[in-house]
Amino acid sequence: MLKASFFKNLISGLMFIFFLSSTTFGQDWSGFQADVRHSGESCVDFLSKDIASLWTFKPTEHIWSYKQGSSVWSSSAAIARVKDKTLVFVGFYNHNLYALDAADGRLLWKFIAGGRLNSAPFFAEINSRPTVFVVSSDRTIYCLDAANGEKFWSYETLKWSYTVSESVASSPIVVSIDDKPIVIFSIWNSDCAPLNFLQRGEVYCLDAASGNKIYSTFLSSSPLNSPAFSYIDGHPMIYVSSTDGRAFGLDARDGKILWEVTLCAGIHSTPSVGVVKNKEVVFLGSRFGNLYCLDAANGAVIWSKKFGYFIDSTPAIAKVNDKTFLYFGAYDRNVYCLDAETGKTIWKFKTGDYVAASCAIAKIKGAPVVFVHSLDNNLYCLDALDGSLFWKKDTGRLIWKYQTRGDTNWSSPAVSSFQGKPLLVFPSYDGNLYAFSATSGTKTVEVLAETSYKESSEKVFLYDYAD
Amino acid sequence: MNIENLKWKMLDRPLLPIMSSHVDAFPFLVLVALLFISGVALKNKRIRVFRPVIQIASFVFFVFTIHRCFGALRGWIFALKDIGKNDLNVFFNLFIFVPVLASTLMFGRVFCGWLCPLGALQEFSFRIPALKRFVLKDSSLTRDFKLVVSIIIFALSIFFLFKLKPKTFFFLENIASLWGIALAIIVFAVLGKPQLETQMKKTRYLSLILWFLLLIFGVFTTEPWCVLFGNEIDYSSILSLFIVMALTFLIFQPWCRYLCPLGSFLSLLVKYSPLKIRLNKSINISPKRAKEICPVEAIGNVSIDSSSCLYCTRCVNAGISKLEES
Repeated sequence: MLKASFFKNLISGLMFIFFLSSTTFGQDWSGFQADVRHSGESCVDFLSKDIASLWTFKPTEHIWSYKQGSSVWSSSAAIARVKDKTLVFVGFYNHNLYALDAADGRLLWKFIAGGRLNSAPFFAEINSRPTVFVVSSDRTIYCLDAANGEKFWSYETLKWSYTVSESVASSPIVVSIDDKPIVIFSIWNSDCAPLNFLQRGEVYCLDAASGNKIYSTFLSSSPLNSPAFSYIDGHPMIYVSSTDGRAFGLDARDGKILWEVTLCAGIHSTPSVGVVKNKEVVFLGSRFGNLYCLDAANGAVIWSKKFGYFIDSTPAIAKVNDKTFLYFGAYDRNVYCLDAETGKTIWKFKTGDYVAASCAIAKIKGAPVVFVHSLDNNLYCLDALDGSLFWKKDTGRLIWKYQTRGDTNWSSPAVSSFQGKPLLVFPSYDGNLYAFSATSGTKTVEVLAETSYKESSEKVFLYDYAD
Repeated sequence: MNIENLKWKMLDRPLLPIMSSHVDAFPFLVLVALLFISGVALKNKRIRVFRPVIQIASFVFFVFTIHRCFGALRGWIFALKDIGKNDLNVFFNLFIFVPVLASTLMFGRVFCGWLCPLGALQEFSFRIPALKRFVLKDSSLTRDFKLVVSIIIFALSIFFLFKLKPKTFFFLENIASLWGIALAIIVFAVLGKPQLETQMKKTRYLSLILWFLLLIFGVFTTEPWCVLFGNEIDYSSILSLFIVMALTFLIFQPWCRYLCPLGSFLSLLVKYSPLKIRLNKSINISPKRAKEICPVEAIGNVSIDSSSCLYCTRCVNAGISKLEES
């Protein structure tokens, strides 16, 4: 047994080293919830509680139409260094992907997709080329040059016809499998033509360099959430949840479904992957208010806990004093911190309205903090240890008179750095993109932030806030 | 124990998952079975007496057993939106609404009188003899006391509305509690001036129209029962349930009587049902006796108000009316 465990760890370690030495991918906040594990964890230290507005970006075009089931702003931003600049990539409901200079919010380029950009873009360096990937509701994934927005390639998952409806697209992730960069995303397409009737929620895996399809796997007739990725004993795995209440574990090499579990209600929470008791686990919430901890190897429920209302947010994972904690928001208006091992509630913080977005974890003066947005129009900064409020900032009112509840994607904050300064970015539903930074402090970013490709399966061991 | 962690549902997994999803065929089958049993029992004098058993079974099943919200009326709009796009979602949103609709066309408002868990909850409180006497008592002193209590309930409702309301989207998340407060106002008006009863009963159609408009505009509406049947900590639903239950101690089944949008919708369909309850013309009863038999006051001088009748069959059992099948 000991030997088996030793070899498993050795294989994982080798895979990790292989990861670091292979293709270099994103930097601090590559895509939705920071990385391919959706940990929501950044290694940035603000070094000061005085965090003030740095710049605000207002897109000039607005599309004044809004319907149920569509998001109205990008689910979150991706932040990465491109050549000598740090860029913020964010998609808006007006079909544009914007690339902004993180220092001053200046628009560097924009790319117009054929549909809404509901999901977060993902940044990666593919063959030393800075590349950004984004999936649009026009059934297409775009691969763009991150430096100037030029299209490298695009892949249309379903041909347009008069009878196809808008697709529900996930945030993509880019990983390296067998020394090959691949992009993984899920997309749901429907066509109501009698002879071509389809309702398909599929996971796609494409060659990130060429856009050639490697495989696609049909999972559900309902929309899917964004895929997460990790290695288990050297084996690449994809985890996806579906809005019809299921979670899947797939072999990332061929897309084969390795496990599938039916949970209690619709799931609108994208899974995140963590490590509990040296075991890879998947965390996700449900519309029944349950938070689940699943064994990533076989989908078995390790623990589940009921909370007051929907949990749509992706649980963020952080290690504090050698213990792993989960941070997430619920529609019962609370932000929760749970012991990831047992599911025990450590603290909760009540906001003024639903908390639909996911948490971002960073540091202030070495202490872990949680950034989270509530539908009470405020962005909160909470002490990750006890949930006490550091500050809150008004991020504006919804630009529409009312919101339809439940099916909208609410955006989440992203944390990174530029020119040695910390950066907090939040695409708000008032139609603006807000950037914040610390007003004091000089060297604010730890060395680990400079490390490329932090989204490895071992990442949760890299940043222990007790250090 | 935090209120957020309260879990009263015995099941949190589907028993008969459709296409391996969370959508459960089991509550659909149980609902259809219960509706059918109720429809058959309605016509049979011997089985009819088991109505409270069916009510309890329905209550236990829908409140404590299944894990899905009983969103009967709002589901159809979500279903229409997804026809041809997401059939599973269509089924999920229609599997309560369609059987209830069909049973109303076949047996009348058997759902309201026999299966609705919120109706049952209001009715169970009426089974406490002292409470029943208090609710039915019509002396001026009792009426004044009830008026004072209704004002207290109204004041408490307003207080808790402002205490529990969300910081934003006031209207959206408070629809259920606003409906509850409207109910408190209606009950106050009826207690103050009983002659208004007939006019106030018509407010349910206004409630229905407003409900439909909100649904069409895409607003996600909740009801007093959402908290019970969804196991959800939705403050608006909690508050409205509190208001409805508090008002039940003053007037019989106030929600069903004045504001229930689903009941109002079904009352429009009941005229197409072949099964009708008609008053025996040979029997003359006093208004007091009529109120004792039919606490929702559907018995008129010459006929039964079919739009108010909940098909509880109390009047049929008392021998003052009969079931007629056309």
